[in-house]
Amino acid sequence: MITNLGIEENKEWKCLPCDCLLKLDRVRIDYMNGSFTVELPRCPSCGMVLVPEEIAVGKMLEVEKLLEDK
Amino acid sequence: MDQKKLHQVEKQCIQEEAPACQSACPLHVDARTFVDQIKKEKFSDAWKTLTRSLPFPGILARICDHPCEKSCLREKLGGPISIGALERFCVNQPRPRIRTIPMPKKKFTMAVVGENLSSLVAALELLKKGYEVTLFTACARLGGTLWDLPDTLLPDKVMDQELATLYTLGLKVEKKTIDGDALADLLNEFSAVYLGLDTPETAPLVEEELPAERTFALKRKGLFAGGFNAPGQNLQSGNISTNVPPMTQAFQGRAAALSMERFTQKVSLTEGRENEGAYPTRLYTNLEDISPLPPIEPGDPGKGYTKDEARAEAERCIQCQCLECVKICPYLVHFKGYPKRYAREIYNNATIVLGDHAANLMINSCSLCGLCTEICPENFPMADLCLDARRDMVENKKMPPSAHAFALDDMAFSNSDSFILWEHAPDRAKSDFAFFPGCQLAGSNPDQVIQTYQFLLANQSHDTGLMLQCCAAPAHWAGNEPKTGEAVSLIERNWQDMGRPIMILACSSCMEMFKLYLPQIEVLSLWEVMDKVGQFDQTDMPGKGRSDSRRPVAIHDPCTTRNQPQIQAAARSIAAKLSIPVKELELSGKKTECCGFGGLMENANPDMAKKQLAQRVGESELDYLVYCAMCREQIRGAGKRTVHLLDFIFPPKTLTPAASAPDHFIPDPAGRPKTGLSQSRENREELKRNLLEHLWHRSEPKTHETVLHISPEVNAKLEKRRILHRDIRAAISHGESRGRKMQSVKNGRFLVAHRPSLVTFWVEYSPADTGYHIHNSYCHRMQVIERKGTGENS
Amino acid sequence: MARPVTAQPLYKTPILQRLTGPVLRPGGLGLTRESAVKCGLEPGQRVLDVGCGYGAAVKMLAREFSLLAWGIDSDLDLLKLNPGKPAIQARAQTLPFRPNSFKALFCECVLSLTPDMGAALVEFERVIEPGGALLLCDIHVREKRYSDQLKDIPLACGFRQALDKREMQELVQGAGFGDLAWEDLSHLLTQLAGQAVFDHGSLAKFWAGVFGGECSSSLRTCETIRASRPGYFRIIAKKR
Repeated sequence: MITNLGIEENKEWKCLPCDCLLKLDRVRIDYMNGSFTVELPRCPSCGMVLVPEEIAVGKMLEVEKLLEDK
Repeated sequence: MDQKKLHQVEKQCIQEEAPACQSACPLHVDARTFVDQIKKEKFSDAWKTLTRSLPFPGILARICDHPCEKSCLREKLGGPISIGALERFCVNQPRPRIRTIPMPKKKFTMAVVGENLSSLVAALELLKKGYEVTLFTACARLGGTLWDLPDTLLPDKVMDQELATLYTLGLKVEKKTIDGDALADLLNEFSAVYLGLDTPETAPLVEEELPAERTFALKRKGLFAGGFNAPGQNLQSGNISTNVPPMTQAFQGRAAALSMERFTQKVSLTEGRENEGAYPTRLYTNLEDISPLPPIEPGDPGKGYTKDEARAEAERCIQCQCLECVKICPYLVHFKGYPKRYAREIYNNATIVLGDHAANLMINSCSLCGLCTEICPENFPMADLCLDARRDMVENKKMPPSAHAFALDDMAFSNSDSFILWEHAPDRAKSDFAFFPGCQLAGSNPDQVIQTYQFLLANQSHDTGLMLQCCAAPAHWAGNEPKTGEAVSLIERNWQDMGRPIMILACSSCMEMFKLYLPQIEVLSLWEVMDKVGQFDQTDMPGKGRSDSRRPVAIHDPCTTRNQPQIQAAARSIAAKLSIPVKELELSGKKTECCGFGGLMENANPDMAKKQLAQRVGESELDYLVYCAMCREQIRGAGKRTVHLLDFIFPPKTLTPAASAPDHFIPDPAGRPKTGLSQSRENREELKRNLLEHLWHRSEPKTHETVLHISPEVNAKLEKRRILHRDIRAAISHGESRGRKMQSVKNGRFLVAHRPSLVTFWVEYSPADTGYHIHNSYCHRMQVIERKGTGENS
Repeated sequence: MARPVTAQPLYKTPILQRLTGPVLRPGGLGLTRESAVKCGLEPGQRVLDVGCGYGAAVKMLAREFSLLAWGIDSDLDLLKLNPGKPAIQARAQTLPFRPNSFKALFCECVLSLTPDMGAALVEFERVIEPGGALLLCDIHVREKRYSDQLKDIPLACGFRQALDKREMQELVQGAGFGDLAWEDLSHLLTQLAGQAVFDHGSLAKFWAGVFGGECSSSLRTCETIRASRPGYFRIIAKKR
């Protein structure tokens, strides 16, 4: 199942080599024993993924701590 | 740690030991809680506290002879708490209904002889345990001499009420005088027999001088006796059944009842009974800040305390606790417990409180500074506990990676070619000594490393070499034994290659590591050496006589000098020679506090380190004087003006004179900002390069590094997130060289991601005339699994 | 004694259902699949899924392993949504089957919800044929001393009755099973917790959602469960 992280559709960042805006798409993220499928802005062409700052230092950090905390 | 070790360690924390009043009470009434409840006017709860320990609480609370008062710590501070009077006050308050759960009936029958208090208590205890009890008395009613007490002290109504509990529990009473023959019958008929010696008629039945200590057993099997008062006397001498204090009667009756139970169960009569009856407590309570207060006297002695008087008297109670370590250590406070509980939690590896404090975080947040052990009356080994637990976690692969990763990376950097170095002195062929400044001093103030080295060459020995490395402290603190071993072996190898010189260590943490892991290496503290050979009283010594060196400073000893008083003395001696007026902090010397770097507290729990520092810097208004680079950076980072001893010995100079520094000296080294993580790395790298080039005339090609333009706000973010400038350069380089980057359609800025190892770094930047502007940077450990194309399953 | 529960059980809350998907528990269908492979089931054999819920596992076992798969659940609401599947409403303690009927019995994250776990296991033993397998997955706790507080959680969920490893093994053995193989699958629970954090921002917010808003119940539930250090396990045992 895919998680909606509550990010708005990306209107700012484009993939430079492919010259297209990143669109929310399913992305797999792993850490230790956990593997999650979430929606993140992704280049439809080459697959480059953007992890926005508020996710990185917010929910992602929370889950990292959860997985580390056994 | 196994169960046995756990119990040993737990025993060292005395916080849960009974207060003096409770341990002095033969029945262990929790007087401390009782008095607290009176203070809070929770009379119902106070009653319950009494009922928990006192048989016939209505009687005993009134007539109690309060041996607790003699042990009360207030005795030397105005006078003991009038616990007896408070008990008498309490019984005049409404008594709550307390439900007792009846025990299942047991098949053994017990006989109790005598109608006085000890016999009544013995009977009550046995009935409560579920035994059938028959009491034998020559009297018409139970109670004996209790009825002789004045009605004002013990009203008849109360006697009836309390004695009724015996009948409610099913006591059988037989009116009969027990003589020798009758006693023999009783011993046959009943499982065990109790003789209440406070009923004088029983005395002839006893053959021996005294019942056995603790068990109150007599020689004849199944026969027990209590209710006597025989200091220096024995039962045969008579008159010991009179004036037996009520608490003694009650205690002996209860103790004998327990013996009788064990006797019928055929188990040990003595096992686990060491603390029965009065005993001296191990609890320690600090009385330093308690001012003497006289006891409150009741306005009407006949009526006893009024509610206000009782409360006022109860407020005098110190509420004895130990908590000496908790009082002094923000870490122990933070996790809302005390060492005995922490030991149990670490053993169980459980969360401490219901909340977000995990045992992992607790174990990793201790600075291992040893102050609590120093303060504790029993030297509780908190640091050992946490360090062992960390080692276990690492061994069992349960150490959270993010706890110590940065510090271990930093250690790896210090032991890489970027920093590591050992050389004999320039143009010398051997090293009798070697200077080991440590990686933190090199990162904090590389110039001072050079100046100190040159000082040693000039004053200690021309054959002083130099060794740049990390001493393994980060790995040791992280509980990572393999990495500690590697770093230690590296030192050993280099030391051998250098010809086994005597090592001069600038850092006391390095000193601790050397003493622990490299006892074969002879070590000297830089401060002792400088104190001995430095010629500080020469008038042309730079720094001497400068105006700012005359402002008083408070000296902060690094926690690793706790058991090295000679190093602490050397630092002070140097300061005195430089005419620096030094004030002592209250917690200094053996009792010094950690700056928050120790044990990798700063790494594993930055919030905890902040609290630790807040306490330390709050202890004086003065600037602080330190002689450890980690302390310098930590304390300065907390906003306190901090000067390192080397700042006085080698005042920092500018390269060119300036209006504010016509003599080249940078004014105010105490105001120099915290060095910062990126700068520390660069300093170390630069130091090696400088030394090789200028002292050993070996140049290494310098890689031209991209210029980064970073605002102070962004820099602060980087420091907090532990993102180094080299991480940023690597990310930009990675993105630029591959062309894999994102661009903002709003402002044209670039965004790039780079995952060199276990962390992904994101950098938002734009090109500048030279180098790049860095607008933002963040990182995470989670790994994005990229896939090509659209709509495919990963 | 457990406090009377007013809210619906955890597995029925939309928040949980969004988290776990139709299997209503950690591990997804993959877990069931793996269990089936581990006990070497062959086409045509009869298996029972106790607490089959929407019937997802029953459907999968029939389709992928060609088994004669049955399911029972005490919750009619769940069964109603999958009519036509071989599923019956029944309680785990009184299975409407003859003895020795099944080659394997799956009980996945359900035992801890039954009022009498011991009785349920005895029933399982009755209906499994000799040499047949019990595939038991459930929550266990690694920190026993919050058991009383767990029982007080005002929400029907597996955590309330969760036992520790030793108690669980003894319970299964006590019902007559042997050859117990215990596997720790706690990472599946952590996975779910991580997913919950991504969905809601934090575990506290997840539980707030379950309770319909942050309240003392949601906070206490969150903390008690975390303090008890729950894990997830699979026991594969044989009926002698």
